[in-house]
Amino acid sequence: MDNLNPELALEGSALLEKKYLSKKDYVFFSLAQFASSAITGLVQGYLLFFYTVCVGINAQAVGTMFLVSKIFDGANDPFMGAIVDKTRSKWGKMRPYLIFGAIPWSLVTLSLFIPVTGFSMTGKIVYMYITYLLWAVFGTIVIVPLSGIPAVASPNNQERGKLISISRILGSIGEQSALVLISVGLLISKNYTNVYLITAIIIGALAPVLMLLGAFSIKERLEPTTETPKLLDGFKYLFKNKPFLILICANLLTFFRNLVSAAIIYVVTYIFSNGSLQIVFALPGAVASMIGMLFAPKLNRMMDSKKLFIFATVWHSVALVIVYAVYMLGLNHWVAVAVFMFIAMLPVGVLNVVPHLMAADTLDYWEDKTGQRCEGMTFSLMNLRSSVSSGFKDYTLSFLLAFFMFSQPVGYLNDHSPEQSDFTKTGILLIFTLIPAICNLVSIVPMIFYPLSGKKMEEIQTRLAITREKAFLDANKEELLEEASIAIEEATVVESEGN
Amino acid sequence: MKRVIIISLILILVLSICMLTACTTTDESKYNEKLNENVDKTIPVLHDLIVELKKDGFSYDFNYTYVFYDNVNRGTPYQAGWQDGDWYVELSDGNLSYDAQLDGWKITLTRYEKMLKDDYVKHKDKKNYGGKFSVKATEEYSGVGLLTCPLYVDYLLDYENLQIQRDYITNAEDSSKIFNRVARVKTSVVYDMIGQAHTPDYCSKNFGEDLDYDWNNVSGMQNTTATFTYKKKQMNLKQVEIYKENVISYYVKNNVVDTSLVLKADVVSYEKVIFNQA
Repeated sequence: MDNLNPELALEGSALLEKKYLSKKDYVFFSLAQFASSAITGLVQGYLLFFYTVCVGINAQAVGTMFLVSKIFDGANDPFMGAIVDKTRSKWGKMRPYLIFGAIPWSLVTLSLFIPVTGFSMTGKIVYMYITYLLWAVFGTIVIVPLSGIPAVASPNNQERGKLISISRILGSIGEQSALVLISVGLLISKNYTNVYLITAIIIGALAPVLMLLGAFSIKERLEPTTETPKLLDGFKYLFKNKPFLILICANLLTFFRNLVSAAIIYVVTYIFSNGSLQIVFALPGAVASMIGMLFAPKLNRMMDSKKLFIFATVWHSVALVIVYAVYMLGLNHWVAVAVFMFIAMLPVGVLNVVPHLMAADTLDYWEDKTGQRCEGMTFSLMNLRSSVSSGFKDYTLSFLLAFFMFSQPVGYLNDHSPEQSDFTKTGILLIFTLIPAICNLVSIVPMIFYPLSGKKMEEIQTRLAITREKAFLDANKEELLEEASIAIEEATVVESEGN
Repeated sequence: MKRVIIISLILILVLSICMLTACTTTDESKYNEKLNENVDKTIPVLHDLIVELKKDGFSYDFNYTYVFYDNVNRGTPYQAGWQDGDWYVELSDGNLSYDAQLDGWKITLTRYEKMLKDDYVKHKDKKNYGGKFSVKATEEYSGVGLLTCPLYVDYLLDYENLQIQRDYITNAEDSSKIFNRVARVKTSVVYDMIGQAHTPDYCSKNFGEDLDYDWNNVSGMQNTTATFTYKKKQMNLKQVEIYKENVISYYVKNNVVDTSLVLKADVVSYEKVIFNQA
């Protein structure tokens, strides 16, 4: 700000205040995010358990499938990003994919939860690979553009932040919808297979409706850059945009944090012997996470993103250690564990929002530096990171289950649910607490080198606001002059009539 | 001449592929090979652990649970076997100790009244079960000569010479787990229609995770999983968990759409005993 002409600085500040989004935009887009997160929450949260416990596929086979498929899924994301960046349609760059991808994605989601218990083990594994890979492809077609919409919905950075925050909150609620449905289902029936299938049917039916609603209501307001980025340039972009590269590396290492939510179903089923208790563990955690998300933009004004990321990570790890200590010291009733888990989940909401705000900052940094905006590539790479992290999480979980000698049901028995040994149960508790607590701290290391502090971002965004306004004026000079002449003529007529 | 060379090459290729296929072991062979390798590794470990136990003496707190469903039988093609009923638990806990020098053993035991499984699950992890389980009896036994001990010792001593039951072993492993080593072995005994015991391959097809049984000729089975946690340096056995599932085959509705009765099998009761070093 010190380097800018005071008049231009004032003009820049005024431009940053202009509003573009209506309440409808916030609501409907957030509902689309809710639906998308409901699908991903169901699959990411419960598919591993479904495959290992209901269908009876070996945990390591499932983990390997997830790792391979999610890396494949993640690798697709930049291609999807490049396709999005090259797309020009009457709906914009991103919305066409949401419109045409929502229904197929929902149908494939349903197919994941069909219990193929009658197949041989080879048949089960083949079915698992085919259906999951199809799910991943359609998911990429929908999620990459969906993630990018907030960045083009408004030139106002605060509105973008608010849209990201609100949609992430709704998304967080959506992620828990499978939890609520499954928990209620398990109160009615102890048959996990049927409960999971019915949940998939409900989510598969409602999700496309909400996604289509969101797609048709929101508009893409930022014009794409005049030069269409080339595919290879997009990959080079990651390594040239150093802040973005650091952000991706730090976030890649946060996959240990996701072990906590992935382990809940195992904790309630095998440690507390009550599957429906997952709602008690996961829902307060989700509420805590939402509270964190709600406060994230406000906290971001008090503390820059980098400090916020580090603070939230340390808080989460320390709190998980406390949960472990509480259980081991004898407070092993589920109520005590759930209460302390609520505290542990508060920073997770912050950690869900801050990276997306930082990603938008790296976009602004790059535009300030080069004049180019690669929203599609940025958010596809964020999704790549998310997919790879998720793959690592599932592989690590399945590896740890095998390490702790998790007993799986045998196929020749009708409804087999073997007792887990004390050693295995201790292992499940460690997966839920100490292991993510210690390993998640590694993500702080790359974040120490992230350069985009609060003050630096203010300067970048002010420069950008002025540049964009100048570009708008240049592009619409004739129209604006015409409007100005008409306004002068009308003013002259009114004055004459007045006289 | 060229034609001869090409045909010869093709024949050599075909022959090589056939020989390669013939020499390659089948999946089942590989599975059995791996199983035998693990069994050979685990049996001596268990032998050494029990020998060390008998040599040094021991004191273990134990917890014994017997969980059963109270209303099930095989049924007939016209009558389903799994009837309306409930799951019950019989619980006992106490201490089992052995003084190697005196060759004397002692058991102190508390037996609890039979209870519903749901009630057991609610209070099992509380200190002193939250006072919710009614005591049926407290007993104390002692004697000389480990083999004369009437209760629970057999659960441990059975694993001293597992080589005798080698054909019943379906899984075995022994590996390092953080600060301890854990050895686990699974056995399976299959019963025919007159109650005679057989090895796990009796009236079965496929292998490994695809294993299936002919329930027309198999009345039931007992599957046991024993997990030993120990310190390798001193062969110090810290914890033993033994879990025995009792399975019977019974007539049940095929599925919601096809309601004809078919034979399936499931766990009707299980015993779980945990020994923790006192």
